[in-house]
Amino acid sequence: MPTYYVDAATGLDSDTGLTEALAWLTIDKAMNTVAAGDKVWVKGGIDYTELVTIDTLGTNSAGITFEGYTTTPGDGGQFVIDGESTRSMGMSSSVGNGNHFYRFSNMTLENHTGYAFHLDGSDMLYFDNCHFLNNGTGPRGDNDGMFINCTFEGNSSHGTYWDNVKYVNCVSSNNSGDGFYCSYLGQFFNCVSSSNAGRGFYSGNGVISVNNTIDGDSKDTAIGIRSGSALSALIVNTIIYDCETGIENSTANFNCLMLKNNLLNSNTTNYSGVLLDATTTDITAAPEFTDEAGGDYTLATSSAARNAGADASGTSSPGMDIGAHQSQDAGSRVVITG
Amino acid sequence: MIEKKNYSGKVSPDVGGETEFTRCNFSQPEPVLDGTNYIGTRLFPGDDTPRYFTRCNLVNCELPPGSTATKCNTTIRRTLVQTGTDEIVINGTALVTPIYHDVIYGRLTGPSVYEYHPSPIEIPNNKVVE
Repeated sequence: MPTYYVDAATGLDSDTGLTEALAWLTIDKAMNTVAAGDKVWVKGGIDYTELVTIDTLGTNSAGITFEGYTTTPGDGGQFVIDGESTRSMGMSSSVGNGNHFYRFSNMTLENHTGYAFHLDGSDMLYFDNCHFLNNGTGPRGDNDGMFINCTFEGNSSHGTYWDNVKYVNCVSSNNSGDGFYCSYLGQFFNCVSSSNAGRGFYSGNGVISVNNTIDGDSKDTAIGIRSGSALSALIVNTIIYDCETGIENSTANFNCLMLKNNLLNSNTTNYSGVLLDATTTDITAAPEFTDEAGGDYTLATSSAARNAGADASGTSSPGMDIGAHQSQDAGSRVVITG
Repeated sequence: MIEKKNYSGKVSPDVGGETEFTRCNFSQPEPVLDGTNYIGTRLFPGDDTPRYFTRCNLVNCELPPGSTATKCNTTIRRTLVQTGTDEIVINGTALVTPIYHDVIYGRLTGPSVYEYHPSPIEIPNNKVVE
């Protein structure tokens, strides 16, 4: 399980890639070479201007990792794949359906005319601290995606389009389509959707939303959360603010929609469609963000969302806030030390 | 300078006289036909003040004269509206009709080599049939 290096500034694809001094020039060279369990450090600084194609699958016990750095491996620096407004996509796969078992860390994909990242049957892909900026559409995948600390910004269609997916601490903003689009089971935790022109969260078949913030930005966003079709929807501790419609459940949906301790404010209509669950624990007071215009969705001291979220007891609990950010009010938390 | 704003679909957004934009989305859904060529939709029509765009989405946009775009997406592309019964053919190959995919790429060569249509064909953002 060797470790390889890629450097767009000084690398040569004819080298071994086994040290920084012998780094490859292109990420695609690394893709042509890696095997299950390998790790690739990709140096940032100069943009990569290539279509990268995954050629090998990892395994459940031996995934394949590509991680960016700036000066020293592990420093958290980003590497950028720039489509230069001419390439359709930044990364794809030639191995078709199958569990890929890849992890990408500290990667930016920008300025592609189509998808930034596109896999069919894309099982088991994990993105950490990755950014998808000004593409036709952000990343697109079919199954088992996980995004942590990622952003999707300024894309011409959806910020991200992935099915059966989990998002944690992600931000999707200023996209011309939906912020987060899933045709099947989207799960969202501590995420922010702001100023997207379509829906904040769209899940065609089941949605789980816990502690998120959706800002429609003066009704730019048509629907805060749209849940369609046949699976259940769970929306808890979520702020939905300034959208045309707050929550819309498919009129064809006869399954459970559970709403618990959400804050809906400044929406033209708060609820639409079939609502089988009482909304009595939701509140409609102003969320009072610290700096909405500046994109700071932490809660002001006077915010009604503070201490109004549901916790494991199922009722409002001091210390649990509604929204993506927790205020950490003094004295309201159990602190585990040692 | 204005940062991180979504002006997509607007040709004359209210920017308060600002001329510098960073990470803003000005993308337009369609280009316009100029003779036989598709060109971008002119932003700020009637106002020739040069603007400066950095890392912005300028898909299907034409900028005021003298403007500067740095690391921006300046693609010109068309959108095809598809219904649930349409069939899409790219280079003679009929593709499976999706119900709700927003971009389709043609696979042009053999099974081990993947190439993609240079101009993605857009399908509506929403699922057609639910």
